Amino acid sequence: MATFKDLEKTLQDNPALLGELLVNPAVALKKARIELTNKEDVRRLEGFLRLAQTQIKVSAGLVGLNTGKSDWGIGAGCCNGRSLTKLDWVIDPQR
Amino acid sequence: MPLFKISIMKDVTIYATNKCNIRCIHCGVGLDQDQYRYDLSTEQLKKVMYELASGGTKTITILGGEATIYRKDLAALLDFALENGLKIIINTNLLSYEAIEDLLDKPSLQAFVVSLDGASSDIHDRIRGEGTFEKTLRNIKKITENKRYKTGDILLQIAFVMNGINCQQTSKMLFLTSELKVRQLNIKNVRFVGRANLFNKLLEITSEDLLHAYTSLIINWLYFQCDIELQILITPAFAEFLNKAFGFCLPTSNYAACGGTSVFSYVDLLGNHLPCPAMSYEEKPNTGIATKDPKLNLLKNSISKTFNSNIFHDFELKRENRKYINQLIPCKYCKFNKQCQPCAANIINGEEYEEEIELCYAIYHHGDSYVKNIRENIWNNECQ
Repeated sequence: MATFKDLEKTLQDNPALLGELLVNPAVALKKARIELTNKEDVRRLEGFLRLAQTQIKVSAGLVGLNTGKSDWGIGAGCCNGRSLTKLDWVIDPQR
Repeated sequence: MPLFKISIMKDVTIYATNKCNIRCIHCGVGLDQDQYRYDLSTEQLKKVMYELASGGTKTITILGGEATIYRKDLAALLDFALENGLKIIINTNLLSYEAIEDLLDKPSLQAFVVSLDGASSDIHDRIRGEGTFEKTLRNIKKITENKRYKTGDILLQIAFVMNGINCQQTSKMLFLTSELKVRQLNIKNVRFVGRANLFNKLLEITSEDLLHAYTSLIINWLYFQCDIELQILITPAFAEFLNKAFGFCLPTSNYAACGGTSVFSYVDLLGNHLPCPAMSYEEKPNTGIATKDPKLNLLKNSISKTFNSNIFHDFELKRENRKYINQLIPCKYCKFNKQCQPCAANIINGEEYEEEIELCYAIYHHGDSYVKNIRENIWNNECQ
C-alpha cells in the first residue's frame, strides 16, 4: 500500500518514471511497486497526469527542427540530418 | 549520366582506424579491433582530406575504432584541417583525457561525439567493459570545464545506442546528459552487424520495449523541457502515433531514414569514397564492392571523379526508385509511404530490401495497446 506522496517521492528520485506513467500507468505503478488503494490518492494521480499531459502539449508546441548534421557511427544506424530542439534554440544558436 | 545533387558533399565521415582499446558487445565494425587491419598513413589521410576540401566538404567526422588512442597524428590532422577550411568532429569512447587534451585548443576541432550506452555503470559497463562508465563521465566533466567548451567553440554530443540491455534507461539518458551539461543527445538502435551479431541474443530488443522506450523518452523530454537537442527518429507514422495517443504534434525529423548522399558520404579504411558505409570494406570485406571500381579511391582520384563513378549514381537511382518500399511490411500499407525512405543499404548490395524502420514496425504491432485502431489509421492500405 502506498500514497500519492510516496509516488511523488519516487518521481523525484526517478523522474524517468513520469514517461512510463503517461505511457502505461498500471504497468509503471506495478514496476515502481506502488499500489494506490485510497480513492483520493488515485484522483490526485489522475489530476497530476492530466496536468502533465497539458504541459507536454504546450512544450510540443515549442519544438522545432534544427537541420544540422546528425553524427553517425558504424553499427549505430543511419543517416539523417535533423534534430529536435526547442524553438528558442533555433532562434538563438549561441545558447 | 545525369549528375545528382551530390556534387557538393558538405559532410563526410572517415573511418580512420579499426583498432580499439575496448570490445563493446554491440560494435558493428568487425571482430578484429585488437589488431590493425589497415590504416591510411598521415600523408595519405591528408591527401584524402585535401581532396574532400577541394570538393566543398566543410565537416569531417573521424570514426574508429578509437582514433584518439590509435591515431597519434590527430593534432597534425587538425592543423591540416584548419589550413584547408575544414572542421573536425571526433567519435570517441573518451576513456583517455590525456589522448585528447592537446586537441582541445585546436581551432578546427568542432565537437566530440562521446559514446555512452547507459545511465549507470552496471548497464554501460555491461556493454562497454568494466570501469568505462566512470572514466568516460570523468572525462566529459573535464571537457565541460574547458574554456572553449564554455564559449561554445567545442561541442559535445552523447551517442546512445539503444538495445535490449539498456533500453530501460533511455529516458534516464536525458537527465544524465543535462546533468553533464552536454547539449546534444543522439539516440539510435543497435544494428546486428560485426560483433553485435555475435551477441544478438543479449542485445535484442523487443518491438514492444522499443516503442515504450521511444515514447517515454519523448514524453519525458517534453515534460521536463530538457535543455538538450534530441537527435532521434521521428517518422511520419511515429508522429501520428504520438498525436493520436497523447494529443501533440511533433515535426517529423526523419521522413527519409536513408538520407542518401544529401546527408553525408563516407571514406573507408582504404581511402575509398562511398555513398554509404554499408557498401564499405568494413561491412563487406569479402565482396570487394569498394575495390571493384578504382575510380572510388581518393588517393588516386579527385573527388569529382569519385562522385561520377557508377556506384554513386547507382546508389541514388536505387534509393530514389520507390518501388522497393513496397516490398516492406508495414511500409507498403502506410499512408505516409510516399514521403518516407527506409534504409537502402541492402538493395545497394544486391540483397532483398529488408530494413524496415523498427519504430514503425513496433507501432504497427503494438500501437493499438496505446490507442485504439491506430494500426488501421496509419496502415490504411492493408485491406485494399
